Amino acid sequence: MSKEELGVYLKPFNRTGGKFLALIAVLLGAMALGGYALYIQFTEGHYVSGMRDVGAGGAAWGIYIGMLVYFIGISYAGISVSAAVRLLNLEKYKPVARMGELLTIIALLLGSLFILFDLGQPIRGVINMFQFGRPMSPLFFTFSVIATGYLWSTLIFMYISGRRDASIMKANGLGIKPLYTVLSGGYVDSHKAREKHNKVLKALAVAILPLLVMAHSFLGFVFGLQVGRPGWYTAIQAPAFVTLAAASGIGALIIISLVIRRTYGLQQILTQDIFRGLGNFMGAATGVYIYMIISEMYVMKYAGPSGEVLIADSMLSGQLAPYFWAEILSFIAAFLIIFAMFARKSYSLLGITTSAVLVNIGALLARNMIIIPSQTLGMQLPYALGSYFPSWIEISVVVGLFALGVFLYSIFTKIFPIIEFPEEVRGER
Amino acid sequence: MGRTLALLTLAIGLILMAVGLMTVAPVGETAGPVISNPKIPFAAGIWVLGMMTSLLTPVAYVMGREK
Repeated sequence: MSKEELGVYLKPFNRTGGKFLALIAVLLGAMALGGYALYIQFTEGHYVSGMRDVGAGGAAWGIYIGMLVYFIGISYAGISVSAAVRLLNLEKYKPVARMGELLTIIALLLGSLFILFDLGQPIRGVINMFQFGRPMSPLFFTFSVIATGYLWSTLIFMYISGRRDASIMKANGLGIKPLYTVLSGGYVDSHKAREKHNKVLKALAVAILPLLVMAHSFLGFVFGLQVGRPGWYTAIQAPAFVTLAAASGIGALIIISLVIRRTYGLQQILTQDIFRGLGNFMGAATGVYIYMIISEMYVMKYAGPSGEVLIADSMLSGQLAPYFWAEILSFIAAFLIIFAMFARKSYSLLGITTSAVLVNIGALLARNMIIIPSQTLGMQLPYALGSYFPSWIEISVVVGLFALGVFLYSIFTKIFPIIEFPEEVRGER
Repeated sequence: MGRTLALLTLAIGLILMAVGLMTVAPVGETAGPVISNPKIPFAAGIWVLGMMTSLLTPVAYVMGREK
């Protein structure tokens, strides 16, 4: 491979202009706002949030848990694409594999932070969980599978797939040498070493894919197994969580890859063909999810117990209707855009991006619509109905954590190759 | 070397997972778990540690020196 061709992969390292620094400054400002809001929350208590006890006029799980579920869903894309690339030899999607792995890691990190910030005493919560948790409990099992199994295995996957690239960076005297020395430690680039790493990554992909389905399913079971909570107690929760995770996660990967493609001028590597494939998958998952929502709403409304009917009425024509219909219309529009491009066999990046953004808006609304109405309206006991709206503290924390995610992603693109080097490039020998 | 190290890592991880699982809080007379009464302290933490150690198997394999 010529130096010029290699240079295309190194473009993110060359372009650090005023715009990038301005973005970092804005992100740091948003993170500072989030940090300040958190400080108030921890010093004054959760009373400053919009959350209240269920039955006392509010919801005990608010936007933090909604965002946790959203981010765990987003994490689906990365590692599933990356694992599929290794397992099925889908070379075409290799350029987005690392972007996906990084997306998974950052999304899981943000999801974990949302759980911690939902607790009044985060440290005590973590210690108690390790001390008293039971792996048989869906809540603890979700934690152990997501935070350790899923996050940990993705970090390992990324480390193993990144050793050769670290070795190439080191051999070519590029970037931060001590970092690459640590990451490539012991790696000697040879045909045998590459084969060994590919074999290990395939085996790890086989282990990760079931972990991925388990993680998303058990997150659904956390809600779906709560008998006393109308709207949550349904067998469709686990498959619906997995399906929406697939749609929103792939959508997020499409948005991020397109931003990177445009920012760093990587049109040569991130071809339209990749986005067409990802867009089709996202569209199919969105279609299945729309079908699931319709099925669930039909059952709730047709013969559901009073709690289910109350929630369904509120969503269809009551107080929650604007949010619910915005969610449904986002999904339908996203699906139709992809379907129209598929039918005409003519894809545009603008269409795919619009669809991906709509799916993620729909997913954000859907995650919160799963969490909140079942607490404010879904009660089996004769308590008064409640309402919930996040306070400025919660909104600031959400903005701060979003900014943290973008910040980490942006910084990573500057210190490590965001696109895996092709096979022709040699590392240290 | 790599294979031996990997098998050792996997074995340690699986043992820790089994120990954690067997020593978490038992189920009480009312069919619910007595959550504040694990057989050994931090049994759930041992389960998590075991899971993390098991997942280090591929790292041990690729880090092991070739003959």
